[in-house]
Amino acid sequence: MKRNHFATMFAVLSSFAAASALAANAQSYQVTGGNVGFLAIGKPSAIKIRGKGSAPQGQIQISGKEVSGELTFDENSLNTGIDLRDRHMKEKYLQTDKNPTAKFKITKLTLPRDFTPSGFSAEKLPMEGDLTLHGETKPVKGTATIISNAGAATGHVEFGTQITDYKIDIPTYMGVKVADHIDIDVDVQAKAAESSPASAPAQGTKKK
Amino acid sequence: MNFLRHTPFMTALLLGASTLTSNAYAFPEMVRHGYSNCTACHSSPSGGGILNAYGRSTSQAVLSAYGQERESLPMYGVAPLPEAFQIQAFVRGIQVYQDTPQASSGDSQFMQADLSASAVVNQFTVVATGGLNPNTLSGKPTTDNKFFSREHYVMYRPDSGALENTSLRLGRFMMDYGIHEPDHTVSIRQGLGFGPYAESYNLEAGYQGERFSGAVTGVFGRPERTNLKSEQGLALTGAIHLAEKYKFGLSFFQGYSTGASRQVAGPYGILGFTERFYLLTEWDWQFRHGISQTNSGASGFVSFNRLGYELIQGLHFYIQHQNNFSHLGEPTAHDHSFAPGILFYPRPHFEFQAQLGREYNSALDQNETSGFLMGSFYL
Repeated sequence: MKRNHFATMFAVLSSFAAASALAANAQSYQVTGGNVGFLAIGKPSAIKIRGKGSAPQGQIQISGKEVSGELTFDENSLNTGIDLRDRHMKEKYLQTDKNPTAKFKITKLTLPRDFTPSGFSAEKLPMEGDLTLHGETKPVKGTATIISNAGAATGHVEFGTQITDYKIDIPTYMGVKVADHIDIDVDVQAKAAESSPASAPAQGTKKK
Repeated sequence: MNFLRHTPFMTALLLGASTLTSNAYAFPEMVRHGYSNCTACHSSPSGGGILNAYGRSTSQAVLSAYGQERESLPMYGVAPLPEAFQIQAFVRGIQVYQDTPQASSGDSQFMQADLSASAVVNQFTVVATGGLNPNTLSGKPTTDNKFFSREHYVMYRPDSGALENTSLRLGRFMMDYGIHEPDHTVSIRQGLGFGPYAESYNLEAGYQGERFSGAVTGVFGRPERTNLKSEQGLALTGAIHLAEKYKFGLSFFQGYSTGASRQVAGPYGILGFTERFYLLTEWDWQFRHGISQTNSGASGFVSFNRLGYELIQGLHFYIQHQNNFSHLGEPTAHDHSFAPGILFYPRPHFEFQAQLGREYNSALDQNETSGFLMGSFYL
């Protein structure tokens, strides 16, 4: 009986130690660069409209195996290569005078079991998030590719969404109508901020 | 004054000018802006010809050096029409120059003056052109009609459902083969018999999708002109669009005319390396059969390569090389040319092209200088 009691206590203490160790490695990354892009298709004729904008701003946190964070993006920085089209996109459809900033919040992104905090890479991880656009917030699902090494990280996120979900009118111009579905990609470069240990106690805690 | 002995190139250029039918401008290099399918801007799935409303706007926004938003409208917006209706009046003239060891000469001529109109009603598009014979314009005698229509067709394009991105077209138009280079004197047009007066009566089924495009065309020649030995046959073309800036295609044509037949086939590419830097390339092999009693067949090869750079929007510099080996077994049928040139689209409605280069005339075994300045205006 006494042996089982010690075994149980050891197992519990070990799990606390492991959890504490992982939690102690929680890391924040400050976004330092990147860009946001989208691909829309104009119909008929499958006109490909690709837009690119400036780097998002924000922080990404990795706590244990979970990734979280919130990024903001200046919609006025979007550029599709044609001034007239850009003007229509921002003034008429995105209405950037009222909603200049888009937000993307990662709600679910789990790193693989074998990742190590000191450096890792993972491709096409399933990801979920909330996108706020045109004043509307909707959940999105996509994939994330992350490479982390020596205190720096790069990430590439891809997901699709529907324009009309955000109460944006379908862009139409001179007989060409943009398809409701658009693909969005976000590239970020980030650097580790000061390490932020979790509130859990350090390893080696003893039960009194 | 010594009369100039016309080289094959010069003859082709003047013949093309005098017999009209150069297709209104097509811009295959627009692939580099994400416009893989010609129907983005033109009514015709094979490009060229009358612009649709979006094409008019694109001519100002993407093609021209300068311009205001409404400047590209038909007739400058003086008489507004619903977007579903488009009209386009087109005139083109050319000044040619040639310098051979024997003599130098120049000539100017009207090439085209016609009116095009299109109407879109539900999923149907109707296009028609009508124009003046340029010999009539130039005051020269002609045995052809003074007025004629080089292009007229009806097209069905579903805008939704399983057949979205497809088209079915019936009427008279240029069959879809290779790159629709607007200069019809180039080897891949004139050299293959796709130059002046090549618009035939066809039935075409096409597909214009995001990643693929293509067409199958039944060519029925010119049944209304029984005096012409017009060619009939079948054309196939297909292309893949990559990375929104590259288009690679293959074309094939089987043609039959009285006492002769031919196959033409080859690849082409429209490569938008960057938004400014592009390459148009096409290579075609032709196998002709029954061309004469003494020569039952001949193999030939043509190629066209134009490397272009858009210095500022609307101003392009290019270098161009062509081969026209109409009969591979005959050394006097191996012409080739090299020429730098300029394309300039100063404002919507205006287009200019200038080119000056060297041509090897295999029949005379000599090098010659030839060039042209071409101007177009459309309302």
